[in-house]
Amino acid sequence: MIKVQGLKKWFSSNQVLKGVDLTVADGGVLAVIGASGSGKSTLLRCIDFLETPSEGRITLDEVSFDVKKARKQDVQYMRRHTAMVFQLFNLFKYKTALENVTEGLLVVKKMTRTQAVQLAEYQLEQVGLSDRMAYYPNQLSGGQQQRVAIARALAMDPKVILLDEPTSALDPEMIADVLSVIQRVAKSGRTMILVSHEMHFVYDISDRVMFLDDGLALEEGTPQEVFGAPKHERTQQFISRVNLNNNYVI
Amino acid sequence: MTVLFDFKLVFTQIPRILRYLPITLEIAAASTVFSLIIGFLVALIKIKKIRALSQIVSFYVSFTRGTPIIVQLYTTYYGIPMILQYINRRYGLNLNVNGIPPIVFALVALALNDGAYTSESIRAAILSVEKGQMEAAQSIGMTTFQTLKRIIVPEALVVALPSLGNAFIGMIKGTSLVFTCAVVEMTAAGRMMASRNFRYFEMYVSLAVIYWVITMVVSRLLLLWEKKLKCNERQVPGLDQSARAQEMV
Ligand SMILES: Nc1ncnc2c1ncn2[C@@H]1O[C@H](COP(=O)(O)OP(=O)(O)OP(=O)(O)O)[C@@H](O)[C@H]1O
Ligand SMILES: [Mg+2]
Repeated sequence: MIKVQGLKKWFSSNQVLKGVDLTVADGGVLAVIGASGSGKSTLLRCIDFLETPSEGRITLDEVSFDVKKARKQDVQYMRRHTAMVFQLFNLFKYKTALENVTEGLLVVKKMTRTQAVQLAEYQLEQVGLSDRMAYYPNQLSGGQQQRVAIARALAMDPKVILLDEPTSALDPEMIADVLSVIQRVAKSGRTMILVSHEMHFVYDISDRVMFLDDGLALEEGTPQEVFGAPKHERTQQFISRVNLNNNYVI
Repeated sequence: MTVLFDFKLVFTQIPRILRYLPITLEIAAASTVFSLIIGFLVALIKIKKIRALSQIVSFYVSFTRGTPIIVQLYTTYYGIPMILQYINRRYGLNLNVNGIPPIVFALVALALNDGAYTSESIRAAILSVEKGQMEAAQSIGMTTFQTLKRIIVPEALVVALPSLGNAFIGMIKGTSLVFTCAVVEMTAAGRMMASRNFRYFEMYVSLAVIYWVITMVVSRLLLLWEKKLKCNERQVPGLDQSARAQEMV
């Protein structure tokens, strides 16, 4: 279980997160939606300590700490047990698909090469890339790169996987492949926090949805609640706008 | 009458000069290693903007770039013994001022000189590595050191290698100046040989041929290395380019 309480983040004098609470049970999928600049990426990045959160408390299974007093091992614990899937994939440029996945297994998990390769091959098969293992990122399409990135994250066996708009940099025809991989990961019982603008997908995949507005979690509930009967005016506005934009009916 | 230009001698004396090739290459290699260490540290200090040290390294870089190498060699040659003497007097020690092997002066001067230049290419190369590479490594739990060693430095090397390679070639040529520190490498040895038969011109032509061949070979090797580092530009395994282009569509 991951629990975040009162998370605040300032960039110098600009407060981007204003006390966000969230809890995701094991195997749960929380989707974070909200307008551009509302702090969705910052929230995920603070959980992974790619940004240092300013205030709040983070609990991941048996470890719980005040972020202001986060020790080096707390940061390392969070990074080891969460894994981020980035909007722009961020695959290691000079490593093949296979090497991208084995890297963390060898260096962080200290597996033997044989073990690491075996597991990496398995993960790449799972995302449908068994024939692309020896390819470098620049030799792969965007959708293939993102699937390697998902395999890389999953190989680390994280307690929570964090996905920050994993399909928004992809060409439309590649989105479906990546979404179906993410769907499978969710079904496999992996705890997940997902930021996405694919509202249809969010509705299908998540069991909780949080609407983030200007650094505050304005509303949280099941997808049916948040999309079907949003309580706050701002949520209503946001939902109606994306519905219109995406031109679909729930 | 003696011939004006002894063409044969240009080639026949090459083997004798080549006996000093190892010392030339040793000086170049050792100075380059030290200069890379200096350059890397200076680059890190500048990137991390470490307050007090930043000022010092900025001064070092600007001073070194603003003075001729030959002046630097002489200042090192006369300066180091003087500093040692000062230490001896000040602290009542008895360090052997005259016992320093000449090659030490050459290495110090060349490494300090080159480090000022390579620090800039190393800094630019490290900064050219996308931030996302670092974040990806951190997000799977790699430590800063592991990230630096396994991701950032190898990627920066691809960018920096052409200019570092040029610096190494410059260093090989630069060793011809270390006679100023009483080190006998190829050029200094050549001058001494020529002083015996007064065939100075032939000697310098021989030296030119040797340096030219060495730098040609080294630049070829550097190109091969560069190509090896750019592994992702190799052809896709089991697919020719046209098939790949089709697939990407
Ligand atoms: N490194 C940073 N330094 C300063 N300000 C930042 C930094 N990163 C983000 N911000 C600011 O924080 C706010 C929230 O940014 P964030 O990227 O979290 O939004 P988001 O909800 O992910 O938006 P989008 O949907 O466009 O990705 C923005 O106003 C942004 O300018
Ligand atoms: Mg974002």
